[in-house]
Amino acid sequence: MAAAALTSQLNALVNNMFAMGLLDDQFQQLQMLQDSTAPDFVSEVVTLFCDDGERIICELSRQLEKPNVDFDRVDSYVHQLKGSSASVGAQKVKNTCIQFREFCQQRSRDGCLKTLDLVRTEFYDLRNKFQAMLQLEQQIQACYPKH
Amino acid sequence: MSSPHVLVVDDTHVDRHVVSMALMRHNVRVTAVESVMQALMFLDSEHDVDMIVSDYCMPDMTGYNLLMEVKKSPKLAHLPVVIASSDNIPERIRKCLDGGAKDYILKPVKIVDVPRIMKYI
Repeated sequence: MAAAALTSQLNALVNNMFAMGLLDDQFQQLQMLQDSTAPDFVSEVVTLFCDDGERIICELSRQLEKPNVDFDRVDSYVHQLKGSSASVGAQKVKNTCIQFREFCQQRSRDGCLKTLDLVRTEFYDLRNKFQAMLQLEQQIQACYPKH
Repeated sequence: MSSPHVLVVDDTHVDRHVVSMALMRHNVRVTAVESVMQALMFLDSEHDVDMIVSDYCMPDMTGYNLLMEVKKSPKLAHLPVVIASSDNIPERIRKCLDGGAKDYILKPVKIVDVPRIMKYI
């Protein structure tokens, strides 16, 4: 009974993430790749994404604080974040990265700083939801006896 | 017949993991490395690789650099190379295909891309 309630909570959370445009169909690709031979695949990828994203966002703040911003370098970090967002289906973060790269091309520090704030907010909002998702998955697994 | 062995080259951890899993679902053995340098070292020591799937944008050496290294080596030139990139840039696609890449696929890699890639082996 507890497992059923947790599962419906998990489904509601994921559906909500899709409805809000945080996720796109690439996330379903990840879900399709997960099976009994790789039961933790989605959580592994999500964890890698969260760790990578946090590292890149820190690096971007550091780069944009410098008196002479190296916009090509900034652009290559944003490109990385865009790539891993696209691979997990983090649609909103990915779209903001696309805007961010335009400001890099324009060499606009103000534009970059504003977009960094936006991408940071979106990334941490997504990360919180991913963490809630992984926690629910763990609770659901704990409801079933181990083999 | 033993399962084919594919070398995946990508500097992004998330992408290495996703591409590897998509290939493994097609009964492929995967070795994943994070740079062109590591790929070349691996190709030097291992002789049973059947195909290379490489990201384009990587620091130091790109997927195109890897393609050039592979194609100029008599020992490796026969290996099919597929370039994966999130950038849909026609000149870059043409450059890779002219350079001998079997295909240029757009990232993120999807499950349906795998059968298309596998036919190059």
